[in-house]
Amino acid sequence: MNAPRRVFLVDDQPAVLKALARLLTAAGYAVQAFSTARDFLDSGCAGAEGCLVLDLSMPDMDGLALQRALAEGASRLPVIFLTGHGDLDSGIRAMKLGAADFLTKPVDDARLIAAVELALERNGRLRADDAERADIAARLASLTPRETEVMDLVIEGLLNKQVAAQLGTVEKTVKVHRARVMAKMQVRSVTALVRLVDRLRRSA
Amino acid sequence: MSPAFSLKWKQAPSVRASLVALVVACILPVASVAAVLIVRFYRNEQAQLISNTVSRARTIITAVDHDFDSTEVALRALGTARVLISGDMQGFHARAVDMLGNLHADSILLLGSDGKMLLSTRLPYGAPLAAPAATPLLRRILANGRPGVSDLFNGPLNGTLIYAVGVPVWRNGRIVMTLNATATPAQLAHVLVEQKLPASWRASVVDNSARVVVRSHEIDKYVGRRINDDLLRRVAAADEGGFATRSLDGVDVFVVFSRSPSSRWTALLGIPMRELNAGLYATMAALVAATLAALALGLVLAWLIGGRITRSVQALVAPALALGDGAIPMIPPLHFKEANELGQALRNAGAGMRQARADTQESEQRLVLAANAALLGIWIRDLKRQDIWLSDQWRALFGFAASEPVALADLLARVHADDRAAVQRTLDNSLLGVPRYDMEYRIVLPDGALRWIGSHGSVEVDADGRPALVRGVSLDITQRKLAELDVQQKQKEVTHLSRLAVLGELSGALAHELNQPLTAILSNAQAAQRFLARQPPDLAEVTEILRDIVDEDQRAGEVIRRLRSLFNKHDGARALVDVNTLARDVIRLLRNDLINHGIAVRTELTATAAVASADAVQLQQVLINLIMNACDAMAGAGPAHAVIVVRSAAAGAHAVQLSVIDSGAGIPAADLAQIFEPFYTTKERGMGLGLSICRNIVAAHHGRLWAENNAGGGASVHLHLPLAAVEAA
Repeated sequence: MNAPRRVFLVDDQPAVLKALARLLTAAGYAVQAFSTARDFLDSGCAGAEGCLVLDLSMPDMDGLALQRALAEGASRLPVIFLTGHGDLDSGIRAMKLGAADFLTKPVDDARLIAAVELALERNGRLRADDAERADIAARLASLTPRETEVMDLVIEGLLNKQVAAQLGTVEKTVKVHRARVMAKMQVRSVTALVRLVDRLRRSA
Repeated sequence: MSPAFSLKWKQAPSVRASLVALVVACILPVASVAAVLIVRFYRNEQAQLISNTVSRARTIITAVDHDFDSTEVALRALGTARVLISGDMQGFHARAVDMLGNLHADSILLLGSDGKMLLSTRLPYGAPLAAPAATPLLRRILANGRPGVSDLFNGPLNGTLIYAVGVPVWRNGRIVMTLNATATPAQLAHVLVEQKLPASWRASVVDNSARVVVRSHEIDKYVGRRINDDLLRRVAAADEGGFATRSLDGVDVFVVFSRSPSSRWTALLGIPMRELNAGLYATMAALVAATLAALALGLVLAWLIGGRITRSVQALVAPALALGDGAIPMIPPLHFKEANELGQALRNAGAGMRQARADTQESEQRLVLAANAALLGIWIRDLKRQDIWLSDQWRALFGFAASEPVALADLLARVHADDRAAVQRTLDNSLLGVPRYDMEYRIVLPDGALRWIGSHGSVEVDADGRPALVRGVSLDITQRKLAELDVQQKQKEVTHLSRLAVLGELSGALAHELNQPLTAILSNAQAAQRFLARQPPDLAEVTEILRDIVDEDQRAGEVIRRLRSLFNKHDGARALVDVNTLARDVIRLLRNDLINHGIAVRTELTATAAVASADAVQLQQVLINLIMNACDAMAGAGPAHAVIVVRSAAAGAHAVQLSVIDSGAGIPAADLAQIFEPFYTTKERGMGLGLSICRNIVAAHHGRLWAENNAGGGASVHLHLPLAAVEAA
């Protein structure tokens, strides 16, 4: 069995924090509880794997502010909001900012756990995605500047001869660079290369 | 004019009488002193005159004596003549005749010691002589052997009055004969003539038997006549002196006399009394005349001046009276500068009074106009005469006809039965000297309509401080009263509405607060289910969860109790409330709202032992209101600025000040005072009652509520509340 998946809890109400932590623990998650948004940011868990269950209304830094901070920090943690109100405005804003879910207190365990599961799944997907992109980026980074220039022109669909003309070199040299690009990028066809680079650049 | 004053006025002397008294008082004493001095002066003059006169009398009698002496010496010399000794009678006769020419005498007689006439120069020698007679002079000479002077006697030859100077003729130590020289009184007259006496004076020489010998006046008539007895007696008393008497010829005189020690003849000088006193009388008359003239002049002047003053003063009486009637008096030309000045002053006073009267009239008219315009009924109650004057407006107000007589009882009869006792009490109080009153009462008009009357009166006192007059205004305050009652009703409703509104907000807040324990309970319970579902069940964890559930449930119950206390209808129940605790409770209550507004609350609850006697729920309402207002004020402010400070601090020893300080836009200065007025609002959907009700609540707690702008932006609302100990004291 895998290591328990992590759920981060932020709520300024100690009793609620404790009860939710208990529930999620009972549900088999590794729960880490914080009583303020600031504590959570300072803990460095923003980039960790897992999901965040966040109370919307808190003093000083509230749920939405924390969400915004996480987005700015390129965190992949999905956020599940909990609110005492049925505050529609806040809910819509939170969802627009990419919240995973928006639940009202008191929250039924089934709904909460379902939301946590979805969020974790989304986090896993995002993380896998991130990992793949990071791999492609690493491959791209291994190219020399000349190889990158050659690759860019190849992706544009130019022939070797045309590439050589553009770069002011001979076709033979272009061929060597091209073979090295294909090897470093771990592709066999130009089509595959184009898809790879396109995926990375589109998401960036 | 009071009776006392007119009495004094009648008793006061007139100006003329005063001036007359002044003149008399000035002149009479001076005249009296002058008279005394004059009399004294003349008395001295008289004494001097009398003294001089006595010496003149002495001179006269001395001259008489001298006459006698010279005759006596001549006779004595003749007696020793040889011819006599030898008995040559013829020769002696010739000798005697010869000598007669040198003497003041008319004859020389030789008498024998037996009185026989031996020889007379009146007769030729040898002529028969008269029979012997023993004359008193002869007897005296024979008796003492010394020469002497006879009194007047009738001459033996022709019977005329004569007197004689005789000397004894001694022979062998015996008086053998006497030699006598007779003289007529006329021969002595020269002694008076030589004195050159004033013609009016009476001078005379009398012999030893007080018969007149010579006299300055009417000698022929009085010669030989004896002076009167009174004169005789007073002259006999002394050798020299003076006294007032009446002379022989009936003239009042002052007589001065001197008697010769030898001949015992007396010179008498009579100064006419009239002459003696003439100077005195003349001077006294002049003095009296001068005094009278001065008096007369003074009195005339006093009369004239007094008259002028009187006329001047009387001329001002009419103007003064006219002044009293409000006219500007015409002042006739007066005789005195002061009177003219007084007249001018009266004129000025008249002008001033007319102006003042005009002003008074103007203001009275204005007052009446204003009173009528304001529908004010004016009434005046004279407490002494038990008389009430009522303006038409008043009558209209109370439903009395314009001419209908109104007594106090009629007035009271109009008053609503429930208010009558209070009105009666107020009226009684004014009699007891309560200086002013305000009352509001109902009256029932004849048609049964009810009218509210507002009445303001003031009591005027007389000079003795006793209430004399009550003056006042009454007005119809029915509209205002109804409006007041209406407002009171509305206020009650509004208070209730506001309470409901606050409760609405509160219940929202409480619902949120309830949400927290419910959330915890649900999550705990479901966690417990999961722990129980494990194999084996984690009972230790479940036990702990159940304890937490119980705790949270209790907390929820607490919230509900608090909610119930808010809905409780108890009103004005005062309890000891710790202001800091109250503030903390309210902040907790509003926590979610504050968070939702993105507003932080900082507490600076520094007051210690800040316990007030208060209605906790009402104070909570106030604080909730203030904090929510602060939230609204900061809507739109950045989260960094959105901080509300709730501060408590001691305000002196007996009060606490609770402040809600925001950092919003502040309150426009013009609105600072207004924000506590009802229906003042800046909110789109607000009714503007919150702060107004807050202030009422605070006022009911004897506190104050006010707002101000902070120096660094934002506004503060302060709640000043007396502490419980003070209020209890």
